[in-house]
Amino acid sequence: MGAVDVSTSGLIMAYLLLLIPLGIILWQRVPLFGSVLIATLRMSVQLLLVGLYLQFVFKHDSPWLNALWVLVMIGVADVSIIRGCGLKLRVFALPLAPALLLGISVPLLWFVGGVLRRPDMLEAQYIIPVGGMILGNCLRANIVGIRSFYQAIRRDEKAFQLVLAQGATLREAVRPYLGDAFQAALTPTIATMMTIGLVSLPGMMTGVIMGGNDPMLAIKYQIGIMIAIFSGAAITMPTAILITLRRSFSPYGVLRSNIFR
Amino acid sequence: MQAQRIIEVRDLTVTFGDAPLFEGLSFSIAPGEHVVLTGPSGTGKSTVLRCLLGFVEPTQGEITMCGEALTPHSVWRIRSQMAFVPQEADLGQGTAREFIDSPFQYRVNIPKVANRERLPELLQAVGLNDALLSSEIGSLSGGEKQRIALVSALLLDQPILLLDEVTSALDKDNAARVHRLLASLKDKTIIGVVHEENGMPFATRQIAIRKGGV
Repeated sequence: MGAVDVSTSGLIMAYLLLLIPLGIILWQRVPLFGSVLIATLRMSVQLLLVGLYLQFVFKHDSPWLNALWVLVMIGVADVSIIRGCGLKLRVFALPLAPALLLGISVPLLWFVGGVLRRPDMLEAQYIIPVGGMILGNCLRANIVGIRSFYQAIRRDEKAFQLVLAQGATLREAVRPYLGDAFQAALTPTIATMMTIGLVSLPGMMTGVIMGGNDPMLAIKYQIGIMIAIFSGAAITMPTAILITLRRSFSPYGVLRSNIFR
Repeated sequence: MQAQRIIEVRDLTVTFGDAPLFEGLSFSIAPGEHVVLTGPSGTGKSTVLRCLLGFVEPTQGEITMCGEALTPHSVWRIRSQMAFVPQEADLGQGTAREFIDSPFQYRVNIPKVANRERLPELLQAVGLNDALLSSEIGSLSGGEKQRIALVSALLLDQPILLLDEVTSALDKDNAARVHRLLASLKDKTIIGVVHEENGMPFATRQIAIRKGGV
């Protein structure tokens, strides 16, 4: 038994639900009306195109094509993270990519190969949705973590330079900021883990249940994916910061002002 | 000759934007000298200290400290020969004791951990009470922060002390205490920046900085 199909009229019903929030936006005169329409249009077009592409990818199920799709997702996440952090693309795009690749590959392959024990670790049915889930959460964690790291050092410039003057190496000077950024990045995921199942039913679990599977199977999937998501964020964020240090600080340990947009 | 110069600045130019802050600045300082940098506001006295620390990269010129040219490679070693007290003591967060203890966690300062035993003596010398150590940095007055920063710098026991307006927030009595303490450090090379006349009465030499250099 699979999930129930959504007919065209059903999809129209989904769009009609938007009338309620749009009505509230107009009533409260919040300047979000245009943004909501654009976001809805973008979401629909993007998902439609992705759907067509995924149909193609699933049909062929080539390991190379699947890996390429994960790389495309990493590339898009790379750009989104840097923009979300208010940093310059040309400075960070290249060094952030290997951090994301590492942070995604380890939990993804661990989950598909180790937890699900799939002989083909690049199987489209698993690698694409699970990779997307890990990457989506890494994206949020990285934006919070990297942004708070660089903004805190920029704000505390004098205190930071005093630490360097006291004999700290660059690694020693950034350590407390890295710790704070790490905490800021992971706290939302930890909070989600604390309340998962009580406050909300997560997407993957819902999908497995709606696909007609036993709820206990959905729970096992969800435990695996939550740990993979947490690990992905925990690997990516500090790796990304440590890799970007060389580009964002002068050889004298001074934060470069031209890294910010 | 080289051993008699712990700091040598040659033909230093710093430019912010299009306008040079100072040009062709040259001076040298011997070990044990207590030197005060003077000059009108905006001539770049504090920037000279920041250049010595490697925080401002000069447009032109050369700095040699402790026999080594200041480069991206040597700056980390050279910084471990200096202690710095900034103008507006932004000491970060935490308690005064945490601020004083933190430099001893850096690898280069670990062999000096025993220096912390001098803390009560130094606090008394600058007119501070032990009880202040448990106070949050944010709750301290400007003068207390300045003296905590000075005590922290002195505990590191480096051969060179860079002081940027170290008594600017102190009353007359406490400023005099600090001056007496600094004057007694005959084995240290001290470079201070002051704005007010006679702001560093123990100085053995004055270097006047004006737009264009010394």
